[in-house]
Amino acid sequence: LNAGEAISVIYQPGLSSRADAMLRVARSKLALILRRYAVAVWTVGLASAATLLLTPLMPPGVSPLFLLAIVVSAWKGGLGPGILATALSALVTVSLLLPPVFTFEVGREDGLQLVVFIVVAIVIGMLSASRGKAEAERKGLLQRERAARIAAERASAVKDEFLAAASHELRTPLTTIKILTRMLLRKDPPERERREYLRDIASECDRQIDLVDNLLDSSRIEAGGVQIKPGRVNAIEVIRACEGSFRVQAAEHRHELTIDVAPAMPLVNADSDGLRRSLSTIVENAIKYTPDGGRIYLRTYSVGNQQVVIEIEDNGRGIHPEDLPHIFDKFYRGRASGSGAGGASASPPEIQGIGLGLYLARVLVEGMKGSIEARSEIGVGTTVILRLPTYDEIQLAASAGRGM
Amino acid sequence: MAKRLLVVEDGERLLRALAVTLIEEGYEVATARNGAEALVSVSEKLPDLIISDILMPVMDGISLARLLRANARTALVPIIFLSTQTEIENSITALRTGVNACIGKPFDPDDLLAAVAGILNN
Repeated sequence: LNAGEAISVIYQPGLSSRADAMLRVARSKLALILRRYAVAVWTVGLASAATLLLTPLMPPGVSPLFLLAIVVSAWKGGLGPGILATALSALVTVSLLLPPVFTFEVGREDGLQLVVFIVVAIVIGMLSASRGKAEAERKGLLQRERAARIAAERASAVKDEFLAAASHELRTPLTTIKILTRMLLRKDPPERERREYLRDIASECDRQIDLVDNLLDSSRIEAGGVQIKPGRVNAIEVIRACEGSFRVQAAEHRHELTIDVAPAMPLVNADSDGLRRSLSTIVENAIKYTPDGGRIYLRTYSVGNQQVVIEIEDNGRGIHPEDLPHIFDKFYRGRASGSGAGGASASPPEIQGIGLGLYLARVLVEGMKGSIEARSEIGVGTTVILRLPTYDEIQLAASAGRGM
Repeated sequence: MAKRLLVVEDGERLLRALAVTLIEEGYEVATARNGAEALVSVSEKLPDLIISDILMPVMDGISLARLLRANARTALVPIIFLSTQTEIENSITALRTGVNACIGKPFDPDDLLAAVAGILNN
């Protein structure tokens, strides 16, 4: 695993919007300017102090130049080396050329001393500047190397965690199936128990199927072969088609599920199967991670004739702020947060799955030129916002693109 | 008197299936869904043997085993790990914490029953 791969594993492309990226660039530029400004202030301050201290040792008229030399060499070579170099050069010049200290007379020697002093200061200043630059380069390289190593270690930890989670998620249901089938085969349990075992086996099988589907899809994406064919799709129809299954699942957790769909909306640019799967993942997560008896609200609206928005809001336990930026990342599984909206002391549900559902939802929605976003507050709930461009908008953009 | 077993497993259905199997074998069974719940159960009544998953939320099996081994009251309760990690290193880590046996998922229930009986008869 080389550093480049590692970084691309961590920083999923397309994860942050362009606005985010611009904000980050602006912030780092501002930080750089502030840092330079701080260095300049310090340099001038320290140089002034050094000049004041050394003035008694210097020929008259030299101190302003000395100050200048310090400032220039410190600015070029860095604070420490610059001041040190200039101070040393000043001391050397003064002690070599002015044997009886404090008995200055303005004369030809002073001119000579001045020239020698300035030449020595400039030479040392330049030397220190080039050293400072090399030092800075070395530091930069070291820093980059360390960042790459940390990224690689993190990527490898993420992979290990994924393997452990995948192994756990695949083997646990298999064990249940194995134990229950053995019981069904060996003993002859009463009808009620028999049905219960069979129901458990069926749901464990469904879980296995979901997992295997997600694993296969993500490896297909890896291979660059995820085929999304967006066309004219009525989002309302897709929601209505999923409604029955959402209601069954919500009822299992005694959630109150409200589906508030606008009577008519523009057709969206989507792949109906992809949209159905993304929507199911989001709603199922809301159902799963909201304490029983919660409230889940799905609403849709359109923004002009450009965009259709589907919002899924729950009053669940919320997503930890540190997890929030990563929930659509591959293999990312959040931590179980204890503070439920119900305030019950019951432990939070296990974080299930292997961290692929929301990742796949994002990839699918982005394949339809849409976007997906989550807002959340611990103890209050989470809202996932799915935005899809309308079919007309995409056609318009395409024809504008051709016209150019 | 029936031997008391504590089963610690976060998979709800597997926990139920294990409990039913062990009860049918004549054991008294307590259940917990993670290490923290297991500690509560152990503090209420000491089991004769603990069967625990490794990968669990809140507190995993390894931490549970370490805590149990560090406490004089629980240091000698035998532990069987149901390991999902195929890597041998994890089993070694587990055995270092003083666990008596490691059974890899998916396991044959008969193997688990044999391990339980073997340890309890010792």
